[in-house]
Amino acid sequence: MKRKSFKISRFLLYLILIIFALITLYPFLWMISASFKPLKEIVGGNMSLIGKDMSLDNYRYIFGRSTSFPRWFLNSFVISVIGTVINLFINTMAGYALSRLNFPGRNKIYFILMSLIMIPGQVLMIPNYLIIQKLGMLDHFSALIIPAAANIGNIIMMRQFFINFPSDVEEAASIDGLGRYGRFFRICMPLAKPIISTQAVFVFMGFWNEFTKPMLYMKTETKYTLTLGLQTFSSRDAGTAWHQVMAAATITVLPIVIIYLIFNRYFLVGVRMDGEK
Amino acid sequence: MKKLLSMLLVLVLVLSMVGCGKKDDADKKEEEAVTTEETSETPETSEEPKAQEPETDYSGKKLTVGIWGGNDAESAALAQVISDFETKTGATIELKTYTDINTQLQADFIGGTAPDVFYVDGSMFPFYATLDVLLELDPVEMGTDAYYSNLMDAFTTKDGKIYAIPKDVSTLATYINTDLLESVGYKVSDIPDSLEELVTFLPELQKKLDDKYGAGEITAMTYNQDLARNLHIFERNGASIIDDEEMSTLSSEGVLKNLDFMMELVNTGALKTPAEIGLGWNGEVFGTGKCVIMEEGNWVYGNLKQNYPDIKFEVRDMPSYLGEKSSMSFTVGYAIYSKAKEVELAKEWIKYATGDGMSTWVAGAGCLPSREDVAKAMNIEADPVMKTHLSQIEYSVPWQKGTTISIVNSAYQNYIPSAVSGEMTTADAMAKADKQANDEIKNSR
Amino acid sequence: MHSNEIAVSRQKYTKRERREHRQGYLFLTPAIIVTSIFIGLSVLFVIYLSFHKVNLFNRTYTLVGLDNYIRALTDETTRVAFKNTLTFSVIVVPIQTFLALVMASVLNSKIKGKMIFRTVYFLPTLTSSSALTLIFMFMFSVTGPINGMLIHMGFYNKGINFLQNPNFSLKVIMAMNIWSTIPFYMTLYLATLQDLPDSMYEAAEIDGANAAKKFFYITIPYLKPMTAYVLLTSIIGTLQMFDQAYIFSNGSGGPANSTLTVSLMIYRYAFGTQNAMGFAATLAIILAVVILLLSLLSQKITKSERLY
Repeated sequence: MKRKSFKISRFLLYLILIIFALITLYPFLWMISASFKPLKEIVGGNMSLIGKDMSLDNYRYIFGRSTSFPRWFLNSFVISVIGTVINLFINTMAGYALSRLNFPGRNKIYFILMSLIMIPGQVLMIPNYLIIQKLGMLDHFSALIIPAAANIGNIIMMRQFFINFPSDVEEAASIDGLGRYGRFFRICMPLAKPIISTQAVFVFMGFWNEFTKPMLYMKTETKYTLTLGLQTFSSRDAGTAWHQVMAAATITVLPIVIIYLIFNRYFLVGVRMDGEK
Repeated sequence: MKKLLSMLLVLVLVLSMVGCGKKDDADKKEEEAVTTEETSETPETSEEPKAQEPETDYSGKKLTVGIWGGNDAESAALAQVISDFETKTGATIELKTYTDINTQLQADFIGGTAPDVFYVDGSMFPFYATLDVLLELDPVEMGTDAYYSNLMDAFTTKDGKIYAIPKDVSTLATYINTDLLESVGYKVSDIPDSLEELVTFLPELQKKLDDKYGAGEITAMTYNQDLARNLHIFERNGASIIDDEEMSTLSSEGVLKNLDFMMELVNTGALKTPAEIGLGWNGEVFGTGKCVIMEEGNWVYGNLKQNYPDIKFEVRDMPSYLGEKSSMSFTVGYAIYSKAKEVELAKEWIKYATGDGMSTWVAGAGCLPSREDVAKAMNIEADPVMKTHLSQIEYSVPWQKGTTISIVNSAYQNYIPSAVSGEMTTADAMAKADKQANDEIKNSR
Repeated sequence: MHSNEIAVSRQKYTKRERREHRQGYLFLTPAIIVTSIFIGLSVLFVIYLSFHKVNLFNRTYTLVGLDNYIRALTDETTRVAFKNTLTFSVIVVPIQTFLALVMASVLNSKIKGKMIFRTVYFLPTLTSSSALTLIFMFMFSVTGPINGMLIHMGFYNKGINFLQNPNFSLKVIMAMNIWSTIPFYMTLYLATLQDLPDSMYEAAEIDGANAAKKFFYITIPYLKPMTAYVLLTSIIGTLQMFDQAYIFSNGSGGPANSTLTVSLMIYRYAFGTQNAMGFAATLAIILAVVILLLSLLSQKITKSERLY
């Protein structure tokens, strides 16, 4: 009797999971499929994934539009990788300090950091622009990397993560004679792999998809990022060229999917720290 | 102590930055003072040595030109104009492509980093003209007589100063899907050419379409709830959507009368917006054969040919209203930054791009020349579609209305759906729109 | 005076504690330098602007005191914008958080193919927002599948224009926002759950706890600190919502102000054609205070300050 109801609930669970998976999968696949369709078919309201007239035309168009294309790709990649690496260290260190180290003013610093992200970005654009300009960083990659080298949201995320972190592991290491820095870099960071890889994907996505900053700070076409470069193709008057937009979106999203798939295995393979190894 | 030290460190850092920023601000002000002095002198200094010397050698000089992106053909046409100019003068042109020109250009003006020359949209011109960021141009030197006078007026301030030269123009015209029309037994000549007569014609057409294709499948005509498209109707008979103070007067008697007439058309159910049909803009509705008639700008022409080659259409003048023809025109000009490094070269570029280079640009970009002589020389009239669009220029209303137009237009778009759906009377809806727009304008002042 | 303080602090803390203090500051230094220069300064500037009538183009700042604040607080449209924004947040935040929690714990349980589900569920986060908006606008359009389904089920017989009807437009954006952000939070929860010892569940199972009990008595308490973060970002994200409202209404906030959010208003003032940066800054500060208060409230609820 109990078995049976258990089986039914299992079945229902999978059913819900699969339905939800389809709901989430469909728009993604539709985006990719639309990138192979002509505009007429997209706006014609045909929502099927297989079009009548699929071709590589949209990609050919985009790749043919500018000779700077590989350059933009490279720019985005370099900025995102460097930015992500710096971010992971700065955020994780700050989050660790805010949760596991005792020092005067800690809560005040936490509170100030938290307050800083309450101001909506629309009013910060101009002040930020002036600061970047004063520091002579306009039209340099540093303008895209350094101001974003720390992410307050992720610092708080890491703080919340380390609150749960069992202190006995660290204490054991300290008895083994490991200092604070050794413990942080050799024990805490490796043990926090699941959350750090999660953070890595988010931070990378943040850099990769960042649009406003490159739009305002980058002046030379060869220094554009991929998102910005693709945007320069869109025309103002004649509606949205959905076929090209979708191809551009697909080109943009693929590297992130690859990064995600690489880091994905770390999400689930957490290291157990409760001594039941 | 450590606490104090670190707090101090942070404080010093922040203060030094603020101080630094302030000092730089002061520097900036000085700089600005200097440059404004310079710019105010420029007109005089530039006129003296120049005289008649158009073939100055600009080798090694670099001009930055701020534009917004366009399709393949537009980019190619511009590239051609640039390379011709570079050969002619020896200068190099560097393009800065804006993706969100309003936001970016404002940041550039504030930071003092704007390009030497840039596009100015007609509707944004009054605002930019108030900011002291545009260089005043001499009408004789720039030969402003050659341009259509209503377009030139769009770049002239109330006190008669000229700050930009129109580089091209686009106008609205009526597009008719002939296949669809004929399929329900009409000819193009059956469509009346006044809005008043459309009130009876459109429902008839809609009925036949519904009978043949099923209810709601194909719409007789599409329109936009946008002042940029309807201003020429709303301001008929001396009405105005703003007053002398540039406050919104959408609910004034004259505007309401014209608006109520448009509502009569909308209430026939035969006139719909693209959004009501579930699409982005008229071109998509027309291109996918979901409407018979639309009013669109000439940019749709190339788009239809390229993306929807099966659609057969004819283009006619905009329908008349109250016995008078009218249309909207959208013009874009070139302006020179008041702090431009290469003022002479910038003028040279504008003269070229809006002179000898105009035909190359216009032909590639699919818009209309802003001067009659170029239109004649190019024989625009050879193409019946472009001929129609060209003929709309002279009686068109350029899309521009003071510095508050974007606020008024937002408020209009915000409340017009409630009037269309019948939730509010047009008078109530427009009174609300006025209140909101005027609150916003007052808050800003 | 300085040496006095050093003496005091020497007495107050042991050598070991002082070393920990030093380490704490050192770990925080890079973050503080970056944020104070690139965010802190801008925020100070915005606060400064909010008390002024500003023309950034010729750098004139006229002190107007609290004038901007008084105008903002008495402005009718501002009130509508705050009402929309708060409604949006109050509905979206709890649903988002709860669904993300449930899905994370389901995907963390012993089910088959969780790797595939996890990857699939993350895709909306990766899909471009323009593609998402297009698809949503199509789905909810008059002739779209949602209307088709509801008509088919007999709820009504003429399609509702969800996007243009003030009664529905904000709800459509809510649905889109919830759907597209759940995976983000779910992934976070999952990462945190990797460190939850299995032994806790096993012990509960021996005590006869069912799935629901395990969820409420083990998973939720364990995820409390991360929930504090999720709530914080969700509150900030929803109260600062801009993109979707902008795309849906073409920047107008319509129809009839139904999708007007505070951020949309701020953008319109900041980059409008009236030089209203001062007023925009004021609205931003008021919004920031509201966000801060709600965040503190949420932190009170989740009581994350523990375990030092």
